[in-house]
Amino acid sequence: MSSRYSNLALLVIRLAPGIVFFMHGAQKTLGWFGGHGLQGTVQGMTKMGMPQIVPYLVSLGELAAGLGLIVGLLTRIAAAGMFVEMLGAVLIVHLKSGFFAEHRGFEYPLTLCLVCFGILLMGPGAYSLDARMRRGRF
Amino acid sequence: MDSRKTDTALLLIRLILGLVFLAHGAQKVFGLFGGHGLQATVQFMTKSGMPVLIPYLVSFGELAAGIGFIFGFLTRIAAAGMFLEMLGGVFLIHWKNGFFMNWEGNQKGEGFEYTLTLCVICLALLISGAGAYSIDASMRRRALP
Repeated sequence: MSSRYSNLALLVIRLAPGIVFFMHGAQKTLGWFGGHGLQGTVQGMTKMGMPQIVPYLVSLGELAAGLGLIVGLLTRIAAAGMFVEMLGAVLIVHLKSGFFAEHRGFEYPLTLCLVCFGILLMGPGAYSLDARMRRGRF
Repeated sequence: MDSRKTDTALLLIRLILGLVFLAHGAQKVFGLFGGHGLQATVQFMTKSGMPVLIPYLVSFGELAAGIGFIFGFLTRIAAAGMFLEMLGGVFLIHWKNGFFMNWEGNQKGEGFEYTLTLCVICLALLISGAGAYSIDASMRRRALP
């Protein structure tokens, strides 16, 4: 695999979870795109029995990680965070609904989970702010 | 970039993608996992106005591509096929329902976020290929003089 191809593939694959987490983070944190906003999200998730820190971590984490994955900034930290969150989503929220997404199953969060783990392993590639900063061209 | 890590990551990404397409293909072709089976899938999709070729391509394509992703066999062809199918899924089927999944039950149907995610991952695999832990790579190694 030539490295130009692999860097392009890394840029493309960062965009998949990047866009998804940005959209969901903006719903949860800012109330954009028909979301509930931070207050509503905190209420909803604490009502489900989660400690209050979790909805804050999840909401701000998704927004920040989404942006980070898109531009390739602190990519591995973003990927690690979303890997852990999606693992929680699979095991705590979606596992009881089976596999298929149409029944709220775990296939979609599991896909995001493993892609984030893949990005955690590979890093952001050359087309990223992380790589620019490492080269000192920022 | 450590190539062993990259190959491991590509294997993991292929496995989840393969599991997803194999499961949906098995639903459509064999009626497994609560699916409708081939006849009902063809009926349903032609009734929604598609040429009769499409449900066959989609059903067998998902099944074959799923197996291909898991073993890393003809990976780029599988990725190209599923990229096109998911592109069609985004624009022809899910676009009208917006971006988000219908997990709160207040939309007419599922939005396109999951379909788009699969589409973009397939595009990445089309660019990268399967990585070293694949039948594609072992065949290429054997073909070398």
